[in-house]
Amino acid sequence: MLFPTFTFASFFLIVYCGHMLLRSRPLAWKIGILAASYVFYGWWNWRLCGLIVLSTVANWAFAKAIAERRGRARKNTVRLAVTANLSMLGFFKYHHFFVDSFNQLFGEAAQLPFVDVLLPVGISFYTFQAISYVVDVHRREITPAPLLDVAVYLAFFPQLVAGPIVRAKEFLPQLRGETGRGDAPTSNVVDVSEAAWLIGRGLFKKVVIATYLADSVVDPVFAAPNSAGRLELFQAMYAYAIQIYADFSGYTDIAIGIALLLGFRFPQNFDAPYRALSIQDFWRRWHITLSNWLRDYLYISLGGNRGGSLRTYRNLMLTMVLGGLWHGAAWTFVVWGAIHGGALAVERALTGRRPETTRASSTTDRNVNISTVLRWLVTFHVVCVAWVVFRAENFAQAGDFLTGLLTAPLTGSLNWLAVLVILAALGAQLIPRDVAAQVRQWSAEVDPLVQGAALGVWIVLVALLGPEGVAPFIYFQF
Amino acid sequence: MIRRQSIFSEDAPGSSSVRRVFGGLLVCFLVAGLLGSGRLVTMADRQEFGPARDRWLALAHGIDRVSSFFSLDRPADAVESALGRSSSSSTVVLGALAVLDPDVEPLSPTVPPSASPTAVAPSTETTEPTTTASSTTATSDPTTNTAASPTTQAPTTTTTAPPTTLAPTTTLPVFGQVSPAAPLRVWLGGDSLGEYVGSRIQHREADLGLTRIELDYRISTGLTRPDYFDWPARLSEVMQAEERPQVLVFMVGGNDTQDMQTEGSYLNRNTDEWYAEYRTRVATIMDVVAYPDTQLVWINLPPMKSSLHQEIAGRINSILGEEAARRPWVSVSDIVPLMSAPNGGFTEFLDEPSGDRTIRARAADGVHITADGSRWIAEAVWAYVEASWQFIDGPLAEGNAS
Repeated sequence: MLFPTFTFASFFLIVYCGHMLLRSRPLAWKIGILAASYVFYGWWNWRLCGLIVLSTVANWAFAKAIAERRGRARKNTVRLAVTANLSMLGFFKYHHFFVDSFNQLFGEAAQLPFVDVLLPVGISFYTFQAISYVVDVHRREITPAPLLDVAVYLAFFPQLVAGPIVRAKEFLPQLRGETGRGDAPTSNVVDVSEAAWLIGRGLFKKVVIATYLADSVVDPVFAAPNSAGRLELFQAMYAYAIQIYADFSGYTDIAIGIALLLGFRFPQNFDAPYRALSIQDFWRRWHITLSNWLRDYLYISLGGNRGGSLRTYRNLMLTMVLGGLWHGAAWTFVVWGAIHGGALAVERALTGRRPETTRASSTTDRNVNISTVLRWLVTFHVVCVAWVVFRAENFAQAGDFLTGLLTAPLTGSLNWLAVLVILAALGAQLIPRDVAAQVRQWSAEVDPLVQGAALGVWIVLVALLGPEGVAPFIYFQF
Repeated sequence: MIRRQSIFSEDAPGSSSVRRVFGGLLVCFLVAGLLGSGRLVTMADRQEFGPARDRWLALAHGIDRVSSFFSLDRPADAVESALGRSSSSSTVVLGALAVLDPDVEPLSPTVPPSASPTAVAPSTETTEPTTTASSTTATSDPTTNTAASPTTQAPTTTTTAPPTTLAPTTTLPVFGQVSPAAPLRVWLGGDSLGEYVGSRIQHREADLGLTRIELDYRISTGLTRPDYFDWPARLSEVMQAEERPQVLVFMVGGNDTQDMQTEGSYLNRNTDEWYAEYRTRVATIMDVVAYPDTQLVWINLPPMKSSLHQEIAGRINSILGEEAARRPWVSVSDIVPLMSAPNGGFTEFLDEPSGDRTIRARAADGVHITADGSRWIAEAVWAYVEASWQFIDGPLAEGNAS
């Protein structure tokens, strides 16, 4: 079930009706939302629910065992839990990749058989959430939760298939109403204006912007990059940068908005990433929940920046390479991660251990000078070039594309509407936060019924401007 | 991590009660439904046939009637019209050479005289596998030879063993001449299965100086749901254009695992009645493009992962081959050998034809073809098209980057 569909709209109306009726009874609410989440997930393939149930029971049991043990036994149990989660992810997501790589490496000498494995939608997301749960219990940041709570945490439908990656310590307190903010699902208060803003914005980005750029510019050029002119290649590269941002951030905007309607506040996942002035800054703004996860559970576990420069570079590179592999079972994703890891290492080498200062200047908008522009240009183009590798189906295609950027004839016609969309999307990232906040504050004073009507008009407009079918969603493959 | 300050309290601006939000949601859906009732009907209409669709359709039509009564659908209609998305006419115009009536004898391969490449000659008997056959008129799925099944009622026994290559023979007669002054008008269309093939041909295989190419791919379409997208009507429109295409490369079927509805009857998929109706629709499309000096290359379906999909694909491929055999202007590019595992079934990974390496040729969904897999098909199809036309300035391939 995809968000921007008639089916999901109907589903959500029923779920919200149930939410309204059950919210004063926490147990019934949890059972109801769990059932709804399994229906949502099983809509793709009901057999996939078995895997998430298995993951739930296993991680609930692991967390209990970790909490009950001390010393070495405690450490070994969390290791076992993480290994079990990664093994499940590895088998279902990376089986073909590993077998194919092995067979390519050893040729005729040793050929492993391919097993027909179904790739469960969203497995990367809920596996990372499950790991955060057991590790947080191990770190004594949270206490083990009842089975039903763990089940709701892992299966909660707004974020189930494409994030954001919500950690147990962010979700479970809200589920139990322990935040003191009144934002538990049983609360009678909903931040409807922000939810409507997020859903409306997300629909536009996902359905209109991402689809238009993909259909009109990106897909045709990536299909045969070595026959495109240089202008077309540059346009396709920039267009893909906007497409993937609009696609993914649009979907998570909708997810966060829907969760908000149900009483949950999810962490922000994107923060104008293309205004970043360094790669480090970019990763503070792009897929924030993933980069925080990688930092807290992988980079720090590897030793972080403790242990000297070489170890720090190694840890940076390993983190980004594995982060790349998380995005997809192909060597192109590994190289994409390596490009980012390398860029982070270079930045660190150039700036030493001095605290990162670019972020402050990137967000104030008032200190724009030549140096700022240059840093933005370099950062943006490193990111864009890396996106080419990310988007390419193989290295040959990426090579053709990147070579063409330098050597292709300066021919080819530009799609001026696409140029306009790219520039508008980049310009939108420069809108100061307080302007957006002011608009939201203004809309907050409007009655929810009027906001509902406005969102209804907006949905019709998005539907009219969008494609006639349902566009696929890039991040489902991850 | 960046966390916004919470504004989530009873008296915070924007906070509302759940009941009021539910009211807002109802208003939202009501407004969206009334203003976009046309889209609502379309969306309901596009669902798979069954009781759920019937219920949604009844609801959507009800909303649409209310919307029309109050003229609330006019702004959306105006936007659709401004975007050039007005519902197209469903008129289907058959071409001059149409042979839709199954009782009519197949046309002589000599009509039109210039439109009968030898590789397209109707095949009426079972032949041995060959390693040099070109695009073929009749196909059979290697794993599901349903045409020969005693339980089926295939109207002919045409079953040609699949070729192992799509390379054309060297003795093809030509459909016509192509020159820079009179470039070849090529239309590439179908569902998402063929989209990469089309892009590949457009950007890589064809010499743009000698061709004028139009891409017309519509995702989620096929022949089972003309209520969703009507390919015969669309192709009629294409063929009625002032300068109609001379070559059409068409590929659909990946979405055709659905039941069909005809006037007065409901046809369950994978039944004899369903295949008979599908055959009629295939024949209609072939006849819509039936004009002198026009070539239709219909790319058939590769092996599918699910057994039901595979069975249907095999039968569809047989129908394509049989109907193409009756029409000299139609050839079927049989991609089954190219896309099959050694056992003849579905596989994601295939060896390059050159044997140099193994690539992922099919997507994990068991239906779609990757860019690499599409490249093979595009190369084979375009080589066949090149061999079917006489290029005054030499073959197109000479001008290609690769």
